[in-house]
Amino acid sequence: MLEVINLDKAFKKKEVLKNVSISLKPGVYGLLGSNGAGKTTLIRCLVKLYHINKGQIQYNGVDVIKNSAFTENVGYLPQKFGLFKELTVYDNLQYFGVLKKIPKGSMEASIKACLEIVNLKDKINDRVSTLSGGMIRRLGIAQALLGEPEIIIFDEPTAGLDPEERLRFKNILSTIKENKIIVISTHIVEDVEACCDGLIIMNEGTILKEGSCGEIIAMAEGKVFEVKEGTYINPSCYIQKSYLKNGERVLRILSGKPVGDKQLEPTIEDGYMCIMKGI
Amino acid sequence: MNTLIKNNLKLFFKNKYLLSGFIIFFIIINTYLIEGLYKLSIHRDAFYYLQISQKLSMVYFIFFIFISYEYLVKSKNDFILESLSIMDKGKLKLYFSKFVVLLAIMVTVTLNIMLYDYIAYFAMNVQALSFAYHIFLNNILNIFLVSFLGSCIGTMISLYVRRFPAYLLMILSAILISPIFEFVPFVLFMGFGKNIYPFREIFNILPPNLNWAEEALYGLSIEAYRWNLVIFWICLLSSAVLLKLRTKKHKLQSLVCILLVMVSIVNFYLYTNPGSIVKKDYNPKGYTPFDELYYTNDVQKEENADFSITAYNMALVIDRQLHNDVKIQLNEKAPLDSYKFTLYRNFEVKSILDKENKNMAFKRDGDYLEIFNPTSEKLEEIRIIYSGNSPVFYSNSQGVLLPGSFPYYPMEGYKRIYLKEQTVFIPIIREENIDFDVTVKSKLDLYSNLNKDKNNFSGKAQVATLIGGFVEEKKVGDVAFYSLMLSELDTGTILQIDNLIKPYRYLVPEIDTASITHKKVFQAPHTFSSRVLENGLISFNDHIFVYSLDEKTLIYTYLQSTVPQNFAKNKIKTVLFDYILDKDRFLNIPKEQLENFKPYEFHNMFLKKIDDLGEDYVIRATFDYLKDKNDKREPIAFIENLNTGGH
Repeated sequence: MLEVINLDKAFKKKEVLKNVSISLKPGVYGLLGSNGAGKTTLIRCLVKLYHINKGQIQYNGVDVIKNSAFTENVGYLPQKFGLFKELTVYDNLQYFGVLKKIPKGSMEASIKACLEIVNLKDKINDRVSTLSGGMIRRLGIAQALLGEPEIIIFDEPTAGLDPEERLRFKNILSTIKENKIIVISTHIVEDVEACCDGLIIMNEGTILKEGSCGEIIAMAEGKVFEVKEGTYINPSCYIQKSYLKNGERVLRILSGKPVGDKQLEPTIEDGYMCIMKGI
Repeated sequence: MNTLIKNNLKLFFKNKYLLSGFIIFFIIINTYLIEGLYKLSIHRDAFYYLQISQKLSMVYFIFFIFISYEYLVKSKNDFILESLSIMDKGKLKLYFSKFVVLLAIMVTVTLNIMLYDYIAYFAMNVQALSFAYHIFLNNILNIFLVSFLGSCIGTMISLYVRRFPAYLLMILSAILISPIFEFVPFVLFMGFGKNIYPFREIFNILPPNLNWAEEALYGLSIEAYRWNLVIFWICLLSSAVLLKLRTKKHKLQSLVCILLVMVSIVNFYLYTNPGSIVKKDYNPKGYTPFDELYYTNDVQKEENADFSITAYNMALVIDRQLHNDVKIQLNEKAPLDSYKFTLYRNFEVKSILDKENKNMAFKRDGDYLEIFNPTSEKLEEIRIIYSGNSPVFYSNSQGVLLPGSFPYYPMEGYKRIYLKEQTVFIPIIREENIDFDVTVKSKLDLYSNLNKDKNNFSGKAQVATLIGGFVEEKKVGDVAFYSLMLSELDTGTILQIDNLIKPYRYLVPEIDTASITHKKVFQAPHTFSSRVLENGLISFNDHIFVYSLDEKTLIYTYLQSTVPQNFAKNKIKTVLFDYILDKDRFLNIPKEQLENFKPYEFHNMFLKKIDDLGEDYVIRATFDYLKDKNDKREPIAFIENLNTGGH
């Protein structure tokens, strides 16, 4: 189990994480939050890229700061990820493999297995410069999977990807998630809806809510309404989206009090927004 | 690690910008070196080739700054660092393995230049292992370490600075170390009297003197201070690089960082104490201006000593500079209040002791040393302990040029040692022979006019000359010739010297075959012949200095040894020897020039006397005048008064 206990992180005087505590058992976790919420900082603390000011991160009860082998158990795909374009797919993964201390004898098999998962086995001898952006992201996932780590952390893995690649990412997740702690940081709620066992919602350096998808959806129960455009709406309400329905423009409203006469079934995005907006 | 290095090597050679940069660099240096080989057929000088090859140092420095920066900043630009950084020492291993690739390239291109130097070495048939080693050391210091430093700068900039300021910094580094930048301290010093040379020198990592005449005894400058300077920078920058890459929990990395800083500090301290160096630039402490500026003022004295020296017992240590512990045996007619000596001003006297090892008070005034006798008795013996150096007459682990005519040890009385009008040193030649017993501790195999027994030199002589470096002893007939290995002369004339002197025997009957062959002949290096009066042609009773072995030079040097050293008579001496040795040229000086051109005033007077009194008479009379120590007349008075029937 990976536990974050009362974690504080500040850059000079700016507090970025405030008393963050979470517990992660094997499963897939979506780390949701708006830009600047502290998701990347929390992730970088988890992978020991940042030194923490206060608190502790424990893995299986051991402080990760004192456990130098901890990061050998972590696969990490940063938000901005790149590879050596001049090298082949194999050479690049071999580079990571060496640093992850994968034995020479099993190197090739490990690389091929990871490429199989991300569906890039046929590109093994291609130069990275010939691959598309989506393929490079998948290669990033492959490098994170190298060495079969117990913890895998993806920071904004689907940012900038087309729908097909995003779907492919979800498929990869379902392939690899067994017995692993996987954390996916994103601000795109729909990415985590289908594949996450739990969600962690962050805002301004604090954890607003931690729970299953059902629990997040439940936060919007009885708070989602549909009204025609032009209807008077209380300023405390939040307009989730606007869309055409039967030739008429309607609004999806989140409100603590009933608005109009049509109540809707909440989605995970509604639950997330209710938490974020305090509805 | 091997796999990382292999992949990083691929990375270097598969990147079109890095590869094309390397190819262009490779073509430039090889074209330059091949052109040098072609010129070698004209110069026929392996040392000259080494000198021109080391000029590439600057090109190597610039190449490795930029190539290292571009190569290492790629990891940043390719956004690969963050994912590697989470792994144990991931970033450090990445940079280290990349640096190993750069190191391999550095070694390759250093070997490249070394190969050409050795081709020149073998083609010119140098046959001096010490020079082969000198080539190696030069390439390590000037090419490899300079490239290494360039690489350290590039690496540091790639880690600390963003792209635009990075380029500015790299360009600034290149300018700071470039010889072009030398004009800044030069202009400031010459124009405004502001001396910023010490600040500029810290960046002066390129080999000096490459545009000056070769110093064949010394080789190229590879003094310890240059190693100290480059190691200082390398350690300092490496510690900055490691500081950025280290992970705080790794104590070993922090320890290495501290160690590098400490090595850097030690080397900086050693750099600030360079000792004797040969640096031919316009630095006020350098080869040319140090003496030129000092002697511009009226600082020289002349005073005969009231005592004479009967023996020197010197214990010399030559490391970074000269250290001497000398016991001087004195012959005093009566007890003296003070004893006056001449000792070059840049030798710092640490203590002066009497024969009972009691300290004595002394006063130093430039080249002059006055020792006060605390008793009312004769001192009989003085012990002087001092150390120092001269920018011209060097003495260090690389070369020793200590002619006995230069007061590197205390000489009796106050003597003028520098002629400011010609910016040359006046040789001091004691007339009588005295006892010398000199023990030298030095890495070099030294040669002397004195008898050598391992590291001890002894015998009766006017002076003690010590020479070391690229010099070897050769027997030419019966004559011992000390030849500069890197500037060999045709020694055929030495075999003929007896015959060459014959026509002049009527003038100098005291010169016989034995007096010629017992003299050791030292080949003077460029520094000596350019910074000593009369192109450094000096004759002592037991040895001579010559810069060439052509007939006229040899005859002149041997003949002038019969004439006592008297600077006041120099003008007439020059005219006499000009006439004797090059009569045709002398007689062909246009009449108009002879009569109107001031430097020919003496020539004109001399010729008129020859016309009036006859050649034979004037030559003999002039020779007698030069030989007669008691004749104190000015040369002009002598020549004006020269008449038949007694001069």
